[in-house]
Amino acid sequence: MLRPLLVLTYLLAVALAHEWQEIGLLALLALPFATRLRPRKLLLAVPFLLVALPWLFLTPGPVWALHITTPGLDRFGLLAARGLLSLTALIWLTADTPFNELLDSLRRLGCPQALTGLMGLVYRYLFVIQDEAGRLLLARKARAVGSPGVLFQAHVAGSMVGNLFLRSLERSERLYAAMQSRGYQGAFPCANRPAPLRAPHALTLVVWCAALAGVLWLA
Amino acid sequence: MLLAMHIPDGFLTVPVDAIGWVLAIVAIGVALRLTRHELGEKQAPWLGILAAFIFAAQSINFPVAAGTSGHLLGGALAAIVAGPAAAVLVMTCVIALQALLFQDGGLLVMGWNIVNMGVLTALVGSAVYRLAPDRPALKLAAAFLAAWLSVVVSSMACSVELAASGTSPLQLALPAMAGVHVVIGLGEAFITVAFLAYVMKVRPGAIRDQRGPIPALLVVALLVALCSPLASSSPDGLEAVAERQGFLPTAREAPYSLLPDYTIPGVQSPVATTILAVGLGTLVVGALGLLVGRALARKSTTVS
Repeated sequence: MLRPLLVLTYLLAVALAHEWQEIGLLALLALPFATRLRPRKLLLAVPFLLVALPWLFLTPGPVWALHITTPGLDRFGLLAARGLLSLTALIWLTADTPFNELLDSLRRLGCPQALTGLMGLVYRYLFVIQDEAGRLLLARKARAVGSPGVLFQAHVAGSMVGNLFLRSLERSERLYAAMQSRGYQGAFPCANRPAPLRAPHALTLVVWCAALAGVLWLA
Repeated sequence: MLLAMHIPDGFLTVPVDAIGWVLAIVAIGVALRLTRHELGEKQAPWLGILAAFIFAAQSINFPVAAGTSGHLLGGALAAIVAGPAAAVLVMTCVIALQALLFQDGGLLVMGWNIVNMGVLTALVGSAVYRLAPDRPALKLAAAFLAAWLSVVVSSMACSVELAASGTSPLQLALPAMAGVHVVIGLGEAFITVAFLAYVMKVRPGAIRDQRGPIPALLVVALLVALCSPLASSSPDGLEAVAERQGFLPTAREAPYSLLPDYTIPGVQSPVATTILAVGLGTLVVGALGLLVGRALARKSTTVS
């Protein structure tokens, strides 16, 4: 519960930051996160940086070089920095927290049981069906010769998706039967209650929030 | 390419984030209630497997030109298979897990990601699909158009949100995003229609018939989604779009912006031309869909 809250408040602070000093201080606060950083994941932000690129040229102000204006550079840089810091925090959260704990936190944050239960099921079957898809892909690779046209390939891919769907349909029937035979009645009773927020955790959270608020207020 | 639609954190402002979450929570709440009513106990196993299926189906790709590959977003497909309410829940699960497991898309912005890729795709997809009369060729054509339009509308909504946050200028982002996804959407359309033809051929009863009156709400939602960028195409410069914090309320009232006050809001503006182009594209893709649908329908009847 502690870690999701730390990351959520951090993301909020980053989204609210509008000055370079704030960004700099927030980056310092993010240092503990950076231990888990996988640089390749940062590529996820690239398409959105492309979309923001026009500001380099379109923000009015003195020209820096190559039609790039100084305020434009500033604006683009801030956006890039915000995206980078947010992604770093998200990676730290998701790389280190077991999925069950994330679900527990979601439940405590008010997410309805029906939805968290559903997400648990999806997580359970995600890899099963992914394997099924993997077998389909392998089979296609094994029997495909030459390079047929795009339309034919799309047709094959669509048929594979259809095949996967029918297999999934059967699996969901089996799953329902299995759940019913174990006493399922339409709800997911949860035996292990999410651990309460203990005093040291609460203290950490308060100090953390104070630090974030301080950064935003001082700068 | 698909990644271009999962907005990461840091690219939208906090008020915009909040509006997205409100919309998403309302949609999820309605969808939960509707599907519980409709599916009862089977809600969890059926939707859970369906979400896992969409997740896996996104990994089935096929090479398109220049090293890119086409694959599925899946919102329209889920809506065709299971109806709009179930599709919203399925896509919510998919998007949440993509963020929590693979960092595709942020947490604060997840509300908008759910609205763009789950709610809008489901509504647009099922609205178009339900419009078609119940004949195989026409249903296939509708599926083609539904899948294409869902991707384009979704990308347009995405660019509007980015512009409302001042992340990118609308006059450039909207045509760029729509332009790219007009092409990407064709991949989605081909896979979806081939999927449907396959299932119709192999297991005709597997996809429940979705007839009945066309929910007017869906069509209204589609129109609002298409027109919302118009509300911001007033000519007071790029900065204004970003600075105007009353932007989203006006976006939601988009149909009224066509009233005399705005008359015809400058067809010269790239935003309006994009919307016109997408409208025209809808006709073209619809016609293309009819061809594809007829061909696939004939094929599946001769084979079986």
